[in-house]
Amino acid sequence: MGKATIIASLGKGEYRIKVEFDNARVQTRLAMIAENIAALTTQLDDLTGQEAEALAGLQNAINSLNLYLAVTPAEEYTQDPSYLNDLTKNAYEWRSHYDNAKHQISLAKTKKTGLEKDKSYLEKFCPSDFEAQAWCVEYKEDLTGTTKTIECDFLLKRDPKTNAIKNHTGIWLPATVAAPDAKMQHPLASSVHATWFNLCMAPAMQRHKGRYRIASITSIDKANNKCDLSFEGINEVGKRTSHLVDDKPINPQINGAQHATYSGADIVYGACNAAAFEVSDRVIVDLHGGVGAPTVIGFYSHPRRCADYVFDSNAINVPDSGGGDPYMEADGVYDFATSDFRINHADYVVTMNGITLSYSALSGGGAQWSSLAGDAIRGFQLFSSGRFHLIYRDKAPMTPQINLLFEKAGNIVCNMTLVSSYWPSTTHGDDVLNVAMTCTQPSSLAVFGSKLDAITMIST
Amino acid sequence: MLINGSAINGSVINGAATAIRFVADLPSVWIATRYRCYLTGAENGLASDIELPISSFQTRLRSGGLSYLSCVVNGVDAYVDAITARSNGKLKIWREYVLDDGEVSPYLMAEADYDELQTYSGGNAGTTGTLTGTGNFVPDTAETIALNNPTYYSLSGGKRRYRCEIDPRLRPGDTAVINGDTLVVDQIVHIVDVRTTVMEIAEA
Repeated sequence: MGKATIIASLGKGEYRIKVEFDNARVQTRLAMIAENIAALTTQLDDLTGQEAEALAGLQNAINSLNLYLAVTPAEEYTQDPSYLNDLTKNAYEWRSHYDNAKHQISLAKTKKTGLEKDKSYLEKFCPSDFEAQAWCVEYKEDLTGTTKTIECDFLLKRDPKTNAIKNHTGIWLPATVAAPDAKMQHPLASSVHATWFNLCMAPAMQRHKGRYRIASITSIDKANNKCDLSFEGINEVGKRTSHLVDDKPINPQINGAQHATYSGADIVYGACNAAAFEVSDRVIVDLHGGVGAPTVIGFYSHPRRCADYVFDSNAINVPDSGGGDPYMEADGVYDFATSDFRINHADYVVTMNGITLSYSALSGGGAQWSSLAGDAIRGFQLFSSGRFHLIYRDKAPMTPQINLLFEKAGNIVCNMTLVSSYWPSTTHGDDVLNVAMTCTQPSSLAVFGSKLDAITMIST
Repeated sequence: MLINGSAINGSVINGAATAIRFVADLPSVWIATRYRCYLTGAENGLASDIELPISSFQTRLRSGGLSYLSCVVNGVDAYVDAITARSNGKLKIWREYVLDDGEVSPYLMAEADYDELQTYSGGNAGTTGTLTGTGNFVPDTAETIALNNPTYYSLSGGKRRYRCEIDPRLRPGDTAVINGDTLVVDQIVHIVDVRTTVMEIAEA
């Protein structure tokens, strides 16, 4: 795969990058061209000197001839033309020197012009690097440094004027910066034989040793993080066309058969996997060099951000009279490793239903904010298992609602409200009832998602 | 654009890059055709173009990807200063129709950024140069153009190919009407020298 240096993050997973090429052969050729141009420049200086010298000699020879003819009686050189012949011969010789010098100059200039055009041609079509826009396959905004890149088994076509990658091919950044293990090479920077060999092998490579591919999701199983895919490709290059490879890659061979579509591909994406994807999304698929099953690793463009918190259950407990306090709770999963709430808990002030909660550590690195006030229990827990738990329990009749507010440096960074669609009026003992809840989360920083139909995530 | 020292309507005729493409009819009768190759000077800040005495040229005009143009110039060393001065120029090939009243109708056939100069010395032709160029020659608007006198037809891989009389107005992406067929042109190849005049079109 290729190599690129990240110049700037443009936000939401888009980057400005500098793509770097293995351009050693071109640099060698450019160095040779520079040497030859320098040699020709020196040669041209010499030739210009020779031309001036020959012109002066020619002028002198013509002057001598004219002078001799002017001062010598015609009878004299008619009787003995030997000196006249010598002068004439001398003039012709200088003329020959002069013409030859001029011819050599024009030849050297022609060679030099050709070499200068070769130089600009190579610089135009084989730059050692160029800047381009690229999407990261994941929603990452903080990638920096030099990284390997992802290309999708297409023949990359660059517009030499704009540096844009043509068609829908392109260069993507992986989710995490990784040391480059290869660089791309311009065809002109390779040998003719190597380029031809690569071109001939390309269809077989695309089919049997595919690396990355563009595909569309045709159906998705979010519970199991799997999806069905339709690859952007063709089954074969037409046997009678003039193309060795087409604009689209050959569809990959998977488990012994060629696939234009594939069912049950794993989705491996950040902390949320399939939760970030929808049907019809264009995605980047890792074909693992033709070994094993395809894996969806990210988006073709505009990657979606994984929800920081994803609810997967909720409940309301309405006890028998005298049988304990009613409560409302919700559970889910979160990204334990990167949760800023957990890591930098001292930066946050947490309130639930208007009551400030106190922080305390949980074993294993977890965190909790809680309040015991009278009969009321309010709590928000982040466990090291990657699960979180919200609870509000009170003896008094209550509105079926949990409002959780996080403030950081005086700014509200999370304002989440879980609202039950109703509070059950009848009970059957200490039953835990699953009821519909709505989660609103208008903050711009944290995002709550949902796996439950009963909880609707609204994010900004 | 100057041809023979005089401006042609002051603008590009049948140019690929013009937003509004004007496809003039070809003359119904003419007594001769000739090809002229120019290297433009405007890109180097020069007021004049130079005409190059080509002995042959070839094009490969494509709807996808770069189009290619190469022109062979005998005795190129005599023009080296003028060529060098126009190192960023464009190569243009015009086909001229000479009418019976002596008037000339010029049509732009191909245009490309001048990229390379290869020279060959020896032989009777002296120093021969091949100027090559690349560029996009797909017009903004496609037209339908009737082509004449097909001499060759093939159907390969479901794609039709024709060789026929040169029509200098045809561009990649145009719809060609030929021999009762209608096809969208993907590629146009011109091969022209003192003995040969070929235009081959391939379907998209």
